[in-house]
Amino acid sequence: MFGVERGSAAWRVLVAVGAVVAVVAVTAPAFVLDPIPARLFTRFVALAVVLLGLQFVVGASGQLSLCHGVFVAVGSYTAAITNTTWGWPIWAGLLLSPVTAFVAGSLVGVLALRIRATYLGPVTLGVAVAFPMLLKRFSWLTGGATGLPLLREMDPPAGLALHQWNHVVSVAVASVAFVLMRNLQQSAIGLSVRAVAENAFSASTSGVDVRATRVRAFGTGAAFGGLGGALLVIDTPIVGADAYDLFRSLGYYAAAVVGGVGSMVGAVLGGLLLIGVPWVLDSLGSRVGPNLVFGGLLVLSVALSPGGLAVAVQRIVRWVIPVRDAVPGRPTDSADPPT
Amino acid sequence: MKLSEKRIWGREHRMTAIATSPKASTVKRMFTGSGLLVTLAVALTLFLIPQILTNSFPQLFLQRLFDSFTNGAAYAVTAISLVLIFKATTLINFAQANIGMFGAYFVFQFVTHNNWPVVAGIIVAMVLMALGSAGIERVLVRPFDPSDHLPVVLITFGLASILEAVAGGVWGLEFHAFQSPFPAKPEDFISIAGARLRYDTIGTLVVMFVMTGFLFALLNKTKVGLSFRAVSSNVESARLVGVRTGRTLQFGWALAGALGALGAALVANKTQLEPAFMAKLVIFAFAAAVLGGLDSIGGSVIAAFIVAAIQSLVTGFAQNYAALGWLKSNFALVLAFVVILVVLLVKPNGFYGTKRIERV
Repeated sequence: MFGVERGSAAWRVLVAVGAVVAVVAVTAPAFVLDPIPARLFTRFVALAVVLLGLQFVVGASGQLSLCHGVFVAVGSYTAAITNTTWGWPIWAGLLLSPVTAFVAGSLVGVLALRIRATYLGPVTLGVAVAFPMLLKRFSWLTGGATGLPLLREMDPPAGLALHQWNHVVSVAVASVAFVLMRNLQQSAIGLSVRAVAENAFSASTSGVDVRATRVRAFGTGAAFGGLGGALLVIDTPIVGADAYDLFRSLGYYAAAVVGGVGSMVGAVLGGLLLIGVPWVLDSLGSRVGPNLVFGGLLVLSVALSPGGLAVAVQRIVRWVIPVRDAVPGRPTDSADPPT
Repeated sequence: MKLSEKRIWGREHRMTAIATSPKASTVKRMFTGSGLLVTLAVALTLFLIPQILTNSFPQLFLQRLFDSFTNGAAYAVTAISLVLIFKATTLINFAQANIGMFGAYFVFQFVTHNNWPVVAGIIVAMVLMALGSAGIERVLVRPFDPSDHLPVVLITFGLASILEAVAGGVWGLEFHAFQSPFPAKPEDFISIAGARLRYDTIGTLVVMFVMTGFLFALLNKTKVGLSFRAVSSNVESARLVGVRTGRTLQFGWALAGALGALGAALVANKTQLEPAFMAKLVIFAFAAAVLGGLDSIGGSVIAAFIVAAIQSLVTGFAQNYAALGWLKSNFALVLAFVVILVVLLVKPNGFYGTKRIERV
């Protein structure tokens, strides 16, 4: 039969080639374009990582999170504070930001434990509203409304401009994040997260610790958001309390849904939208704000393609290269032969 | 393993677990279950007592209370519009705030550009928003599976952002003054113990109570109200006895649309008009609706006035405490958030809500 079987050698080669092409395509703009348009791509890479976390919380673990911007802010502030106040190098902040965001996410996840379904909407909304006030309250740490600049920028190796080096680092970190997320989703933890989302009761009868899994899922999504936040700060070396308002969080949510929740391709497409829509509107000189477009896209995507753009893109890819699922029950090298 | 330690989800199981567990310590009871609410109420009282003991007591206290009435009425009307849709579909309509905002802009348009009287503007805007909401229900809500909430919640999000963008495009992002439908000159007030109760506050209260009474009559005395109650109690059974559920829900949306416009018009004169003005207020209406149990109209009216009174008293008096100075006006938002969170954690059905049994 024509087509590639999932998991076969040919499939692996195709996936690897696709990944390399994608990484090259994302890295190239920094070396081809002028600095200003090129930096849009750096932001795109960071936002894709942000949405990677959100699609995990919303898609895989099925929890409504309207405060993802808070975790992004935690990541950004971690990078900025360690760098400016404590004098750490940027990579150290990059490593620490997922950890602090994980802690923040787990805290919200604990709140979310007893509040189910739609009720999570107002609660996470409240977190998003309250957070900028905390930032202003602890202004000795966060710089308050004026913000905190990133003092020690990265040292690009010879021959590379700063924005190019930032971009390369961002792409490298993002690639690692995507591989991690892919492995996580296929691991036992990822499976139990999805099992809890599908039916918590039957998951618990199979020995899954429902509470721990939910909290962990929220924390993990937040950790990716924090990493994305740190990447955002590398590109735009200042963080301010007013940049992380409610509408930022809602925008992330809309972009994740339109891109496609529960899909890593969806995170990339969502990041593309977050950068692309305002850019297109700007260059058209349109009076219409990006919110109108995002709102419209949200309604359209729910009505026309519930899986978001990712489903449509996957359909096109499958049409070009048909992928067959492995036939169940056929003996593979590790499984027992059918009896 | 003790039963109390078992991680079994589901209310009944938890009940048995609590029943068989040894009695919790006093400290623990202060922060769990309904004890948390008592603790918060005591803290609030302790906070207010020093203010009551000062010599400005009756006047300043009453003034802050009177000032909260307009907000209370607006929160109540908006909370009712949230509750109407929640009752029928257990859906939280995130676009409700901006539907109201749109209604207020219509009033502004009629009054400022067409020179209509304010009351006529409000009535026409209410009718328009009722029709608009009914249309939204038909086109954007009814086609989707009512048992799966997420798509419809997403649609209300999308709608909220579309409405805000359209209002910004049509009427601009700047603040507009909004005319009060009641006498609102500086000398229009009656004095009670030195505190000023303004005529427009009284008018707003009257309108709110008349609307609530009208709504009660509509839901309890008319045929359409009966079918609405049937649908909110059980959609399937209502359909089986011949209620046209789609139309009935549409009726709920229309009512909510009209009330949303009214609530926004009542408060717009205090806050001024801009595309996000209701989105900033709706968190208080959420708090009221949640406190009232999300499906109780009377409960959310009472809760709305409690929320508004706490907001006014606490933010007003917080400046007397040096340690709370940093909160300033933001204190109210944090407070609303704490109310929502604590009520949902401690009493998920609020104080007047119907108990729902939800497994897992």
